[in-house]
Amino acid sequence: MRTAVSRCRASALIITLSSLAILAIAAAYTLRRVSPRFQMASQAAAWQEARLAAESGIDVAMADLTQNAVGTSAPTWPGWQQEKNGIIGPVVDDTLGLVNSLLSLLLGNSVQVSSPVVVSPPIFLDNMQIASPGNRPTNVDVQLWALYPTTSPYYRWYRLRAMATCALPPTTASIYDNLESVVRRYSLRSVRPQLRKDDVGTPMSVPTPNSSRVVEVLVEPVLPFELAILTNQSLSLATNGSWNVDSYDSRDPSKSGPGGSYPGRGSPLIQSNGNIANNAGRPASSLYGSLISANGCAVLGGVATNGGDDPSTPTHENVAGATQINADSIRDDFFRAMKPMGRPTTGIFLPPPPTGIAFTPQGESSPAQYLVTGNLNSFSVAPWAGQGTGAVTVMVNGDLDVPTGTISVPSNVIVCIYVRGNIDFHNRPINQGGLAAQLQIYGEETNGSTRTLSAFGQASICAAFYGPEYDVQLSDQVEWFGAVAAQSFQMLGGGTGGFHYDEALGTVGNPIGFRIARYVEDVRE
Amino acid sequence: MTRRTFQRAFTLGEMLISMAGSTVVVGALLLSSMQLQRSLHASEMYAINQASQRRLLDCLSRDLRRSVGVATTTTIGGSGGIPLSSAVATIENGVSLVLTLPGYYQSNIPGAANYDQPLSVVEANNYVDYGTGAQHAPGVPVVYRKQFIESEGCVCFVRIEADVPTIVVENADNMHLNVTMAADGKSAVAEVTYLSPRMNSQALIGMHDQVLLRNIRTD
Repeated sequence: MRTAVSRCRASALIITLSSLAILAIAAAYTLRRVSPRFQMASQAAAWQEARLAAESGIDVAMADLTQNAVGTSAPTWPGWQQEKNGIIGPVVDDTLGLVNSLLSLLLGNSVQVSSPVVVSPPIFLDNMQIASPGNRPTNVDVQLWALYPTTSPYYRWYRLRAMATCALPPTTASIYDNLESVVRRYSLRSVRPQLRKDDVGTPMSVPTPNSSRVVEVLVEPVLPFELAILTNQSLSLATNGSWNVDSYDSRDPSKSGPGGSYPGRGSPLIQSNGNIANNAGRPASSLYGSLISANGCAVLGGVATNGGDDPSTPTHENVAGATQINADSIRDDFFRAMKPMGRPTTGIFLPPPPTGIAFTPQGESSPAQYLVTGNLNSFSVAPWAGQGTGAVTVMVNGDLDVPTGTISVPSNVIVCIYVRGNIDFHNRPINQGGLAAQLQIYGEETNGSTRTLSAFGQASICAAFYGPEYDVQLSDQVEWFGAVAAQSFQMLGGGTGGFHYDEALGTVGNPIGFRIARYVEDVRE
Repeated sequence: MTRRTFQRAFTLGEMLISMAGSTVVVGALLLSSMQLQRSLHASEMYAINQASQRRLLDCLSRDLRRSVGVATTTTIGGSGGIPLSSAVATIENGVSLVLTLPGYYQSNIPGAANYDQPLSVVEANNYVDYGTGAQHAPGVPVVYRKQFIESEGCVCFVRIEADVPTIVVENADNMHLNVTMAADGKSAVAEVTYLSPRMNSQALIGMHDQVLLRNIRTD
């Protein structure tokens, strides 16, 4: 028996397929329009990561600078290279000492003078790999130039320039929005020619499409005597009398007395840059409280601590006895790392002259170096007969002890003393009539032992002291002209004494660190 | 004997039922298609707005990060700026944000040969910075403003660097920019918001970026 076959059974299938086709076309059309927009988010993320990577490159260079700026540890410049006579090689070798040695190497015979600032040829980190959050291939090239704004080989800045390139999603064939390309300037098929000068050494390995960003910073040295008093643990000012902290500038006749001397308390020439600071923080169990004991002393300058001030109260809990301190000049966001300064390790070390005979200086670029294996007492330095300024470096393995006499420095000589033992000036005048910058005393690493710098009575000291592991203990009416950076500072008594910061010290001494003074992103390259 | 012919037409009942069913199916299809289209359009608008939002935020953050001055002004040229500190600035209704960038380039004239060339490093007053001779380069003002751009026929966010305008966001009527400067003047929060493009939704979609100013402010 034959049955009839209906020809109308497929209508439902046709309708269903048609419906699906219409919906799919609509969805595809819209997705085609929307997906590039969402892809832009991924491209923008790569653009952001390129900036983060460039800043990481700057951080690496800063860390290497700081690592090699001070201290006695061997310098480490891993990965840094330089081009010499067309050959690229490691920037350091076994004979390289501290940063100064590196700079001499950098400067070599090919110093560029493109402005009043002398600029060295660059050293560089090549194709540094940076781990990016999005697991995109990222390369960073960092270049470093040393800048010499003055003729002093010790006062140096740096210019750091980092270019980071981060891969874009490989499907990026074009930029959907012209406004986007104006801001972000991606390299889609080839790297922009302008960027090639920052791609030093081996060409980067990040494939196109990619995004490059260039960050440049100028780095200034943090010098040891930028503050009147800087401590790591505790800071306590005088407990009685009119003892105070103020400043003057021995370079400026309108801010100092005759010959750059302190103009005298109450003089209109007195300045208000006697800044004091303490690095120590508060315990976690008691976040707010005193970190500097001002004890009612007048401080003409800023007073800074590392925390301690309760933001919910109008008073400054971080400074006790701040009755004579301008409340607006008190802050609690301060910290400055201090490491002991290492003594010179290269050159000729002379034995000290016999007692009563003066130390003989040499030119500032190659100071006369004396090694005192025992203690050093009062001494004097002969005037420098050459041109410019003379310099003497004295390394003392024992104590610097001046129970009688004085330390006398001629006006055209700078003396740097590196001391491993205690320092005691008793009640003696030190460097009377001189400038603080002419007598720089560095307390070396103590390896855990207690070391002190002390003075009493009416001692009058004109010097700059840097000893992050030394406790400075002054008593009675000691008067200090210069600066102190130490583990702790305590003034017992006070009377008519005082602490007078010479602002000329702000540009003196070897760097103890570096900080960014100018940040620029090169957006036109 | 006559052979019976098969009825090939639908009955009235079948027709009514099938028409009713077809109407429901086609109606549902149309309705869902419209809803889908509307939803996808909203997605597209969302994506467009988000891209614009991100671009404005990134562009502003990049300038804030390197600026040495942050101010607001109501003047056309960006002069007479009032330094912004511990306050919120809403950049619309004639209020402009004026950022001062450190001088870095030899020329600020687009197309000039030295437009992308950095200045030398010079020293003045014991301080090293970019400049010429013995002078540090002056800051370069960059103005952010929301205004009607005739050539585009819409309200735009524009960035004006050294009197050269660049459109950052088009069709910005519905977009708002706020900059909140911290009390210490060292950091800022930039926030860009817009109303959701979804119909009948008044949801405010915001994106913000907290920026630490890398340079010391000189204003």
